[in-house]
Amino acid sequence: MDFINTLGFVYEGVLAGLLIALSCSMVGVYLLMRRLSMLGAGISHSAFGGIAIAFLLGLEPTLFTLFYVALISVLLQFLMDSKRLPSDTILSLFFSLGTALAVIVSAMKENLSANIYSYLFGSLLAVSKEELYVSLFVFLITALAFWLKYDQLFLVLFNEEIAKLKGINTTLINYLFVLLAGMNIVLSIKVAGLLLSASFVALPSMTALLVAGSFFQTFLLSAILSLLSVFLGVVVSLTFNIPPGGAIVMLMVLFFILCFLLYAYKARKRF
Amino acid sequence: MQEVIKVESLTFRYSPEEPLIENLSFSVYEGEFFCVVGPNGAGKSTLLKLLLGFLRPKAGKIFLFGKELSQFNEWEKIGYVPQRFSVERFWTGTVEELLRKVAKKEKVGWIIAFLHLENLLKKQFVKLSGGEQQKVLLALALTKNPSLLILDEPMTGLDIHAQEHIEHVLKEISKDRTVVVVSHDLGFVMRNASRMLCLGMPECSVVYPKDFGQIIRELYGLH
Repeated sequence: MDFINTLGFVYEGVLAGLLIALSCSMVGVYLLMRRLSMLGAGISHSAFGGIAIAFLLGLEPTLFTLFYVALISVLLQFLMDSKRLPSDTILSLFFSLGTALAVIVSAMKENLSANIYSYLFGSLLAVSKEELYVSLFVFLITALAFWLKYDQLFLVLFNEEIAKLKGINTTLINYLFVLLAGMNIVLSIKVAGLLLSASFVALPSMTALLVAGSFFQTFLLSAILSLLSVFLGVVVSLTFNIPPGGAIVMLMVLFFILCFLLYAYKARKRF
Repeated sequence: MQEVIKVESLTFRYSPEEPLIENLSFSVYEGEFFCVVGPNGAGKSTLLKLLLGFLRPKAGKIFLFGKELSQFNEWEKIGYVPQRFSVERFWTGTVEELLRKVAKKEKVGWIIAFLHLENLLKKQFVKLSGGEQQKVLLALALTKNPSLLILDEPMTGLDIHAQEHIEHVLKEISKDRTVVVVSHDLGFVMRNASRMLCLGMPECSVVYPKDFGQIIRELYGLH
């Protein structure tokens, strides 16, 4: 009964967590299939710089960082498209730049560092009603993009040249989904904290890739694992009084290990 | 005979000081089995990317079915088979999903039967053998029944049985369409090509079958 009462107080955070996890699970599959799983870490640390600037300028941090990261995402895709540097190098550069910016800005004013560094760990339980609405909005755009562009995305991820010959605008698809990935990663910072936010994108999709038998199953499994992790993570967090972000990511890791063991067992049986 | 591909004074370079393709001109005619050969780095795959509009030439013109590339929009006339290694190994789609996404069910039936893909439909593309993957890529290129088929290194990495099978399939397919193949497999080229383009020689030239042996020896430094 206590648990249900507590859940009543934090339902905004739980709902936001479920929505963010669901859309992160979809963009995660896209990123992993494009071998951009490092993008989660690159963007979350870039967002750290955005959060710091927002506090310095006295702006609402979540909304400002969403716009800031949207710009960063477009710039990232532009640089990756130009193929002058490997994607990993570009992401590492943005990772370092964002962190350095946050460290410098946090030292510029008194009391600023406590606010900025609170984003390192985040908290699902501290999500406001406004942040829930923003999460719902981003979830709806993400779901709509996947629904409308699913067939095109399928071919772009298979082979961009074949997709281009089928008349698909591969540039638009890549910009769109990197942008969505960026926005979802920003929202996952609030729920899991900057240090764990990349896990929301990477872990469920990695797990799904291990055991899924088709493209559609990969998205479905990734979504189910994400939702389960958030729901069970909140239950564990409230029951044992541990931080929800940590509990959720621990469960994501646990699912990965279980699926990896299943995958290894199946592979061994085949030979 | 109709010119399916016409290339005029084509020049392309990745860096300003090193032209990869310079002042290249040739034509491919309807019904030909046209092969492009040359050592590594001679620009074979780059030439295909230029023909398909993935890269822009620094100079020169390309015509497809009589239309300049920038004006050409009948891409359903062209089937393209990329190198099978270009498919991402984390891609989890099945053969069935792949074929259904590019064509309606009733339109791919003949391809599935022709290439004997029935037993592969439920399997994931990345888990197929090299020969099976090549067949699926061929099937994908054939979904719109194109009159020009362009293939990039279709024999690379295949065992001898798979090579024989793919060669047999290509022979069948080429009976009623134009085929352009980039290949390192000189035996395959000598057996099948109606003409070949040699890249990597001081004068890139189109060669007829009677001169294949001599040119290939020159090109690859064989004796």
